[in-house]
Amino acid sequence: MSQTRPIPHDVTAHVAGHQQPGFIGRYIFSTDHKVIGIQYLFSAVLFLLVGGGLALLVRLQVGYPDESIGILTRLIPGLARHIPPEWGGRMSPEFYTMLFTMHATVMIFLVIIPWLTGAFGNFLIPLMIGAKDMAFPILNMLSYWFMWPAFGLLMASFFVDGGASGVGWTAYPTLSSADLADGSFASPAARHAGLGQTLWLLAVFFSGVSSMMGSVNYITTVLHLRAPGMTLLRMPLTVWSLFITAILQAVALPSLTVAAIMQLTDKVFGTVFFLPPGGAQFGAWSTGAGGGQPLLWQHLFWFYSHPAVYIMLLPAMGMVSDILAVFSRKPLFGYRPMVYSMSAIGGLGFIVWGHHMFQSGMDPRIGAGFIIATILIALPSAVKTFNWLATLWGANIQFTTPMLNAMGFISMFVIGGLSGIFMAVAPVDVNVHDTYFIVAHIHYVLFLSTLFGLFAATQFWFPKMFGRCMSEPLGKLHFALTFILANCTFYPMHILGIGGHPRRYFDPTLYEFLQPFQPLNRFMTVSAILLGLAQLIFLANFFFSLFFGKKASANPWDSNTLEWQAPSPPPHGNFETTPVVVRGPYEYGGEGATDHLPQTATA
Amino acid sequence: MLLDPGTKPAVSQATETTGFAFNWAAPEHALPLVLTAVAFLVWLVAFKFRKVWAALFGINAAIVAAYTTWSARNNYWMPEIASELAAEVDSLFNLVLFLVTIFFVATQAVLVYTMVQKAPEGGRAKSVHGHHILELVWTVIPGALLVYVALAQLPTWAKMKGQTAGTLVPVGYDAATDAADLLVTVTGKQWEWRMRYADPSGSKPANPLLWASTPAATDVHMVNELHAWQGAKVRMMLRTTDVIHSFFLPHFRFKQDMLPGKTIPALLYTDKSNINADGTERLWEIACAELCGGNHYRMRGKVVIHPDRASFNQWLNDQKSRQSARKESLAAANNTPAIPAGNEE
Repeated sequence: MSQTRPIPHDVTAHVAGHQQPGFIGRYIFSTDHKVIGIQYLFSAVLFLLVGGGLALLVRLQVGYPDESIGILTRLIPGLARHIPPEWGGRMSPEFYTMLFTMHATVMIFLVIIPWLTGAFGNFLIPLMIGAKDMAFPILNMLSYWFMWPAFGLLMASFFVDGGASGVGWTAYPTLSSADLADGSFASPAARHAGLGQTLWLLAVFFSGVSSMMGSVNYITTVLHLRAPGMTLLRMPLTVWSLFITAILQAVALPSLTVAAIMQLTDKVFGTVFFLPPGGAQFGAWSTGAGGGQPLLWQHLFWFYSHPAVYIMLLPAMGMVSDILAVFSRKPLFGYRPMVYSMSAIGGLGFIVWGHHMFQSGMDPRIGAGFIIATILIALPSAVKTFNWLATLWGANIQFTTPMLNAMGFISMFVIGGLSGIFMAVAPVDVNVHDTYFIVAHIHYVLFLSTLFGLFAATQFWFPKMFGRCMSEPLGKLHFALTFILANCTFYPMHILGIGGHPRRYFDPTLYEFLQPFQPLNRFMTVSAILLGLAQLIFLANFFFSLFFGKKASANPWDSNTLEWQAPSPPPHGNFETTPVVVRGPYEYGGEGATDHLPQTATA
Repeated sequence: MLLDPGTKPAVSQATETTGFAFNWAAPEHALPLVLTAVAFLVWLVAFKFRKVWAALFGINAAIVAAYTTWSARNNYWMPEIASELAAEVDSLFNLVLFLVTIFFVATQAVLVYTMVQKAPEGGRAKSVHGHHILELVWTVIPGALLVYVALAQLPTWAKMKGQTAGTLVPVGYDAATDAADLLVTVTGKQWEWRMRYADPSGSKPANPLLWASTPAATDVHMVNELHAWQGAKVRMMLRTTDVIHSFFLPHFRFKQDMLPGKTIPALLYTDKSNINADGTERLWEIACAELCGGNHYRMRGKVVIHPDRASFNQWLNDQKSRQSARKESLAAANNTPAIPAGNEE
């Protein structure tokens, strides 16, 4: 496994600078992994704005269910049909369900996954293993352009009859699917699961195909195109994490893609994969008899979507590990335990999906098995945390923006990881399931962990991508505000969930036992708006630095890994000569002539 | 007998709000601004003293810990406990909370410490790549604790899933040996809960599963209200006619999905009554915990646990006679029998 393989030049020869593609070939339908990575980055940052805006509308409704938000219709004209004046300037409950459904969908499928595996997976894997490009450059280009139908379909779904999908990102049948037996999109069964939901399923399908093409590419590239001397156990953890993530995606994604197709045929052709024998009755309207079970969808969906949580976390863990070592000026503590624990998370990640279904109709005996597996998956995460802290121990810490964000990742991952243990205790999980406790947990993992990892990685590799540095003072201001405000926005959700506050409620003040929590809901809404504003600092920093940032040298952070041996930005074909790797990636500190030894340095 | 729709009306076209009332002086509005100012201040001071970044992490962790403690002490916490099982669930919660607090405090303290620690001599850290014994220690100790937590919860899990004998793993439901005191079918539909009890004067249905899917004409029906008596083991047959709903009784720490096409037998323990000595009622609400459409948030109901079996029986008989009276007046109005002869009580 760990033997050295030379780069097969016949595979990558055509991108090695022999031909000069035109503008379209270079910047639009490019097969260069770096351009594709940057395309993914821009798309993800763009959709972060969309997803964030949707979240703020959700918060506005939960915090202030009685106030008029009619003023928004003057700012965003398209909102007028969802916030009609005859409703006293409030949004309709159906619109509210669309908001949180699309917020989750956009953030997961169009922001987090494309940003992590699309942008950084593409940009970093060939550079960090010393390859000239991906193994399959054309497949790589297709993988990016298959995202655009997903982008387009999801955005278009807001404008179709009935609006976007409003059945939650989990899309449980029969709410999502029991609407087309009478051949129309306007059946009374689910007014907001009509054409919008059909487009949603198509978008998930395209996004799945795109990710699958990426995964095949990453796995092949890592296995076959490593530079001489780059053994598997000399790969930086960033590459390890992206490699394990690609395997997870390749194995788990078909489950979701197939399930999406099954639900699509249920909706469009009247198949009955998820419709029970007795059918579903909605008042006087009935679907007719089926032959399936919604439970089947839950199993297929979570067989992908639980590993997806690790798909959305592992690459951030890998990148944070690399950034920590660079700015600690100290070797990463426990490289092998780190690799083993990531592999363990990858393996166990496949047998814990049942913990999303403790309260569903699943046989409780199977539940007991899922309890054990779910508990065990906490262990590798704990091991990783201890190794990160040991890396920082006795270090000469440089407080750069990437470092602060990486430390923010650790601080917040501890909360997100520890709150996950409650979910592995089935009786407790049943109680907090579908309450704000879960919303808090997933945001501590996906926002406060992964997004801090992404902010760290973006600022860290920005010089390599664009040849310019992002502003440090602006970056630090963005970090300080985001760190405090994200905690203000999401931490109180734990308390809300402990109090039994169900998620996805249009107006919680209807319930006597929830009324004491309403000031807390308002507190979180105000924090969320400020948090949203703070992200504008990041955007300003990002776009301003593209043109006016300080010019970057090839290796501005004194880092060891291979990408810093190439010029900033690297040319077509990446390296002037194929690098030869002689050591691991984390030789920092120590007694030598310099405080770091690049992977190619022979002395 | 429908439940009072609540202390506030539904969003309706009649009620109109004109603007966004916003009081900056309210603590929940002022506090985020204060904390933003703190973050801004740390950023400013860190230009001069970089170790001030440790304060940001320290303050944050301290606020999280203090705020959690304050919430628990001031009743912004779990709702009142309605059964011994609910108390068991809460003690499991507290066990996990205790363990994670130790890890939270330890890891945050180490993280903050590393940010203020003395820089290594000459700015060069020792080139340490790992430590075998340390890895073993921090794998085995959390591993042992986790295995303990995994095993400690199993009896409660079995009990929660309707297992009355003390085994670790729940067994499947067997209608023949169902020893529950009260049988009720709860059917979710957009957007209400329909409760159905067997006729109190008749015999208990021989096969509860069969009865759940084939209503008898003499059954007693209720909407959005679940009644039982203190100390009863209630067998609830959970069904839905349309989409997935989740029957959530926060005070009982009870939550069970209703799946289309399935009848799910669930057991509810009622060890406490919510009728006070003076006859007033503490409101124990029912909520839906699985998105079921636009009015998901309106599936509000309530649980009434009568202090004893006699008062429950009296309530059920009352409901039965009201229901018969309604049927009769309906039949008289239509001048046709509402129920085919022979099925009449």
